[in-house]
Amino acid sequence: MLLSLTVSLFTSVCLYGLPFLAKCKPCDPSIDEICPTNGRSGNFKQFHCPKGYYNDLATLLLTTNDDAVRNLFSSNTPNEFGMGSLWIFFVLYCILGLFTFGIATPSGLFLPIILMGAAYGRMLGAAMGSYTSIDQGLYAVLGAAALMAGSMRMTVSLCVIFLELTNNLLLLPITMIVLLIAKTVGDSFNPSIYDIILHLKGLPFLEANPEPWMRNLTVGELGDAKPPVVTLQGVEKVSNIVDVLKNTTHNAFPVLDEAEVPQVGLATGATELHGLILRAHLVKVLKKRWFLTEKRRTEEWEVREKFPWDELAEREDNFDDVAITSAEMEMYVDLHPLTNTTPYTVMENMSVAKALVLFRQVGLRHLLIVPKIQASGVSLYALTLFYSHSC
Amino acid sequence: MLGQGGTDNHRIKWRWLRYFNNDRDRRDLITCGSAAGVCAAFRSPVGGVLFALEEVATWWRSALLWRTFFSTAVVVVVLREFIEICNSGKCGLFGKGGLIMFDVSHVTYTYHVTDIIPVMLIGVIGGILGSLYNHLLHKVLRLYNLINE
Repeated sequence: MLLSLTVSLFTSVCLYGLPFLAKCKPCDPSIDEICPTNGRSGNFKQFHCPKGYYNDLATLLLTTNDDAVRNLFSSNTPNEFGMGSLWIFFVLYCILGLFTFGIATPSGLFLPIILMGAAYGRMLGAAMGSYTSIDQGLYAVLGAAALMAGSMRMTVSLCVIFLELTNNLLLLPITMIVLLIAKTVGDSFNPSIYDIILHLKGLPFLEANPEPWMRNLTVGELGDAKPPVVTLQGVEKVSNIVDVLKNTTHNAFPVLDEAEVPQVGLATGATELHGLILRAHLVKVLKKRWFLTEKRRTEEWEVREKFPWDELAEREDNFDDVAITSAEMEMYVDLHPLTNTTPYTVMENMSVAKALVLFRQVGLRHLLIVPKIQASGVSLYALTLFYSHSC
Repeated sequence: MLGQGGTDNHRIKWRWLRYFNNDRDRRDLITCGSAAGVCAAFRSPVGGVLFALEEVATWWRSALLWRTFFSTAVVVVVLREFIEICNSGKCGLFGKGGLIMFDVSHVTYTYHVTDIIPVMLIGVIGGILGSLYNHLLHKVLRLYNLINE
């Protein structure tokens, strides 16, 4: 709050105070526009200058951003803006753009970068003035394109945006050249601005390509390094569920069943993986108080009328307001009908790289790792979410 | 489908919206929204779709192509309508055509083959400046994170 106030005060002071640093420039009589203007819009702001003169920095600062862009992009105006004014404008927008982006306001990336790029292009154009015949406005357009490609690393979409912006098909080839060069140069230094923001916000984002070391590691080894997964019984006590929900942050739990009749070739104590239940569904069960007094399997119709599909689609995991009595704590819940019986599973000797590709391509949230040999007392891991911090 | 919701307007709306309350539709709507936003800013329908394809969407489906395209097309039509209003001088503070961010279409540029070298120079310096901006933004955002903690 205080930060936002400071930034906005600083912005206003800069926008009003800085034009005093620029010299007044005489109006160019060859341009048939109203030259010193005091109104809302207009190309040449008079500011504090005498009649017949305009202030070029005020023209850029004291207007809407899109008018400023239009002014910078305009052609056949090689001397409209002085070098000093452009330099001040560039530095100011750089500082303001940097400091405004982080505060709690919906502020953009596109416009500051376009404005900075246009100012930079014009400066470069003025510096190289005698060597080429390119218009200063074209320099501004290309500069904006270069800066955007250098920081956002977009190519095709920027190209089309600039094509549709300038309405000039002839510009397509040189815009493409500029964009590709700027992207290549930028990529050799650091990742794109979106990746940086994604990383700083701490959002879990999985890179599409596995790292080379992942090929030499199996998911079983990775699972061993993580805290063990919390499993639930097919018909579970309420107190256990509440306990698990309160003490873990896992978003899904594998549901295991004691195999009632041991199949041929299996040890007697073997368990069966029934599936995976989501945390949201467990919370739903608690909220609806769908408890059974005795330990039994339920029929399908009981569940169907209690849990409509659209309520199961909701994702809520706050059950603080559900007061469960101690009598209810001793009751049971049948988790079978609410369980996803066919979760994605992989063998424990699969390489991490392969599992990561599966995880990412299918868009999984949970991936169960099952052991290759069924032993009594199944060891089971759930690979919930890979985080990759590669910045 | 809608009839079971009762007569209350809010309730009908809510019951109707629940059909979009799943992860895939939410993702699709976000993609369409970002395409529409870029399209509105630059008045470029194809640019908006390509932006969504290049930067936003992690999983691109072919169905998303026409959906984003449809949303940007709607945006362009609405924008065109607003530009008409602005041209008649009722835009208030923004004067003429303030609703479209940039209207530089009346400007014409020409260039020659020999101008390739300065153009490449623009690209190189632009790339360096852009990555410098990223670097500084990273530092500033980290500073803000520290302040907020």
